[in-house]
Amino acid sequence: MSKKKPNLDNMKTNDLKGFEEVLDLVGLDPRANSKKLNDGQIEDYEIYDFLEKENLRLEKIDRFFSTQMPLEKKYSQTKNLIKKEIGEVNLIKDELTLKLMNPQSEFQLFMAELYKKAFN
Amino acid sequence: MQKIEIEVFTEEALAKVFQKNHVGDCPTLISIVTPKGSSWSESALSLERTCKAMNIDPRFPYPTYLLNPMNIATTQYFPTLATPGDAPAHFKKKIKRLKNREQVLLVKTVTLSDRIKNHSVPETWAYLKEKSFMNKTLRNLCHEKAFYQDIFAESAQKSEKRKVDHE
Repeated sequence: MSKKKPNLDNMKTNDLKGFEEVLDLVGLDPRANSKKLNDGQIEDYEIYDFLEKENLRLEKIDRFFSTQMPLEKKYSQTKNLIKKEIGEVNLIKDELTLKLMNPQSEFQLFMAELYKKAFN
Repeated sequence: MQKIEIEVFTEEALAKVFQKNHVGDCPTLISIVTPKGSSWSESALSLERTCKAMNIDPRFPYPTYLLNPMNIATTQYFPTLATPGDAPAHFKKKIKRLKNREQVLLVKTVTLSDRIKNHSVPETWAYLKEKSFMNKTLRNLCHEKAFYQDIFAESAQKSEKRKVDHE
């Protein structure tokens, strides 16, 4: 069974000088284990990666059109929510108008004060 | 992404160009070379008519962009780009001979894009536009309600304060 050799940089190799034989580091090239990919290999993976991403993108679009959109069309709640909101807005407008029409309301008092200041 | 320049805008000529360049099957950038006596918008309309006749959707599965450097108003049928550099980086790839494992992935890609073409994309697009309009209406109503609620709360707070001051 081959023994896995450690990957040492220049500084560590200098520190271990004189102990190479004991530590079984003879003939070890510090760059032997470096797994640098050349440009050609990176380009290969670029196309593969692009196709994988593209498939993922298309799967998502397909799911959107085949699953999500039919459900959305069938059970859309927007129209009901709009109706509900219109009802609530009308209700709150009525309440507010009633409240502001009260002679003791803040709005009426303010207007009275304004008239007083303007015409006295 | 492929870039094609179109000079002739008759329906037959456009159909031939579209078929030859597989428009709709891959991301495409169309540059309009305006013929004499015709405007850019008219040419864009001819493109739109041909796309509709050939059942090509300008957005799905692959986008078909119009190069519009002068930002001329169009029917918004096609997505537009000011310069070719504005195209999504995802689609900018070098043309290369594919290996076996990449061929397998490409077959899947073609199947998926064909599946997307079978969906009623224009109908869904129209629905989404309507939906976005309704969502805006709903947002405006919510804002209006919040505005009235604020007035209500403020008025109640002032009345309370006035009562305390009188006491």
